[in-house]
Amino acid sequence: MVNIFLILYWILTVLILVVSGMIIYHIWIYYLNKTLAILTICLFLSVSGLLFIFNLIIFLKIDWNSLNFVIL
Amino acid sequence: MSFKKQFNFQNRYENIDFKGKRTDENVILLLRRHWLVFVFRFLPFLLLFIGLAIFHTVGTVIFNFFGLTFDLNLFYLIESFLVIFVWLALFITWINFYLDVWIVTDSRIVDIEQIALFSRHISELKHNKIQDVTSEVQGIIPTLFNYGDVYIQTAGNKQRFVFKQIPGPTNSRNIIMQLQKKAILEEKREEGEILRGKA
Repeated sequence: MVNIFLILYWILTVLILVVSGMIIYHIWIYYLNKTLAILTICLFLSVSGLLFIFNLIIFLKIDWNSLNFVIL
Repeated sequence: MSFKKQFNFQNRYENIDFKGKRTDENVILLLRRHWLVFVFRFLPFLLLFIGLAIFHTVGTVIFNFFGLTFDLNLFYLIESFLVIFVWLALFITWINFYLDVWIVTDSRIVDIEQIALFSRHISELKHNKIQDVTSEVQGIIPTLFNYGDVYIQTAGNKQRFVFKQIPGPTNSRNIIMQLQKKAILEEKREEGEILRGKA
């Protein structure tokens, strides 16, 4: 039995991680000013990290068994 | 007197480093699109964030008003994913803005165009190959904020360089013209030395 919301959650999470990795890669590879590149990466990681933790907390709060109407 | 000292371009771009930069090369100008262009690109994201905030408030009110038994956390999870995706899209826009750059050094012009993630176009042009430089400011906002395009025509049928929406296009054009004159004079001097048998 598979919960479609759980599958969607993991697909979206992987997508977010891949895109975040691509963003950091671009800033780090093509920087013109090293200090500014480090600052930009720090800002990106801190905001993204906060949003991701917030997202994870909500995910853990959900009672997945109550969403039985989406079980395939 | 070096060109940099002559035109007072002190160490402003000393920390600037790009792939293929020669050790004896000095960066004279580093140009990006005007900050207002980024503001215009940022506005849709701001509207999306506002839209999400309204969606959150209205959604919560509707759930509470109708006393729905649906788990509200699922609604918040969808919202948090939307916020993350808007944030990522905003950062990709920032990358496209920040990595789209035109570098004028004392020997050449480097055009680095970041079209999208994994789509990057780099070309360069030596000053002595420049034939004509044109600056263009069109519209009310570009005139008020002094930004516009600079077109650099090269010899032959080669594609011309375009500096898009850069601040102070007239000033940049003047500097490029001075660099071009200097490069041509140096080229003529070298030719003269060869003809006189000094080289």
